[in-house]
Amino acid sequence: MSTSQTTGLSEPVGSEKISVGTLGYIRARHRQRQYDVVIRELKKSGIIQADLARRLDKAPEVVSRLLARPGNWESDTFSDLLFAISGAVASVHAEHPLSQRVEEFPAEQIKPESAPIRSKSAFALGTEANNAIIDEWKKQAQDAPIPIAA
Amino acid sequence: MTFYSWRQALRVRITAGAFNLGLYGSRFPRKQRYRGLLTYMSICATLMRLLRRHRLFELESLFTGNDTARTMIVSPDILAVVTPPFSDTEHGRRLGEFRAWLDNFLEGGEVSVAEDPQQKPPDAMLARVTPVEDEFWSVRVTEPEDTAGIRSLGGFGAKDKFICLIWDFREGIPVFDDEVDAARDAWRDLFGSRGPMSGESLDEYLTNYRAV
Repeated sequence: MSTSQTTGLSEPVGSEKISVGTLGYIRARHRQRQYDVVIRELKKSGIIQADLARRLDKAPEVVSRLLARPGNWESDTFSDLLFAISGAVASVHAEHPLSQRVEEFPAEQIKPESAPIRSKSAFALGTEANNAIIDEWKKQAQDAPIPIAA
Repeated sequence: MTFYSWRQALRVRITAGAFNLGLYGSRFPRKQRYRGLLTYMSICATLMRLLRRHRLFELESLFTGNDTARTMIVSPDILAVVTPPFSDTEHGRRLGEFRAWLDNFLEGGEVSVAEDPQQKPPDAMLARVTPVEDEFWSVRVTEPEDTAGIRSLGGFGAKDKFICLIWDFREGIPVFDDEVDAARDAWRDLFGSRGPMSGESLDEYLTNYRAV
């Protein structure tokens, strides 16, 4: 069974710059969590979008667009949506899932079974190292024996 | 759970899959239940073989590991680009967004879904592509807003189990139909004549969605 656990994402340490790629991932997660909370409240409340638009004094198409995807809402927009939907307010707290994850999964368990160990530079998009890894995986796939049912 | 052989793993997966599909004791007519079960069984057997041969990979969430509500299977090409570290470049930022989309799917997050390829809102996160009967879907990464985003095509193997085969930056797809053709070819190469899962309504494809 091939799975894809990796050791690539870790908590920041020292003064090392965080890549914009990592920040992009974390930002997207945050947007999606906000979106989940708002849509969950919307479904629970049963309020229709037209009423929500009236409560917020916004055009229906604006509200429709806001609810279509996890967009980069301003903090006030998130707050307004939650309160207007059901009178809810967001509960804000910090978590450390990456540090917890390291404790739960020793390195030897989270190394990909199938892939060679990759250096940080290997995964810069389009590098020769990256292409070589993909070629290696494809070669492994072609060479692997096919299990035959009894 | 420890499996002693791939056959045991397959049996467990088929049984679990059947329960996931609601095939046991469901309200669907018996004929429909069996049709769904047989389709999933045949795809599942092939999928297990492809996973063993490393032609496909089961993605795990960067935050929750294999403790996920949904399943995402990806091609080696996709796994390579969504595996961190993400580079300190614009490309890295976009690929970080792509991975976040996939992890959100895995973790059971809300997904806005457009069923009609001709009338999809620009912000839909997942959209059916034409021809509808081929059952291919486009993963639509529309952030960062100042970019054209990323599109990744694939199909459902079962409810809440998506198989993502190809990807590209949106600006790298001049003719979208060609991308669908490429997805169809990739699927055929892996699964032969067995197409992606076909359902009567969105409820049969995934949970926790929002039709847009």
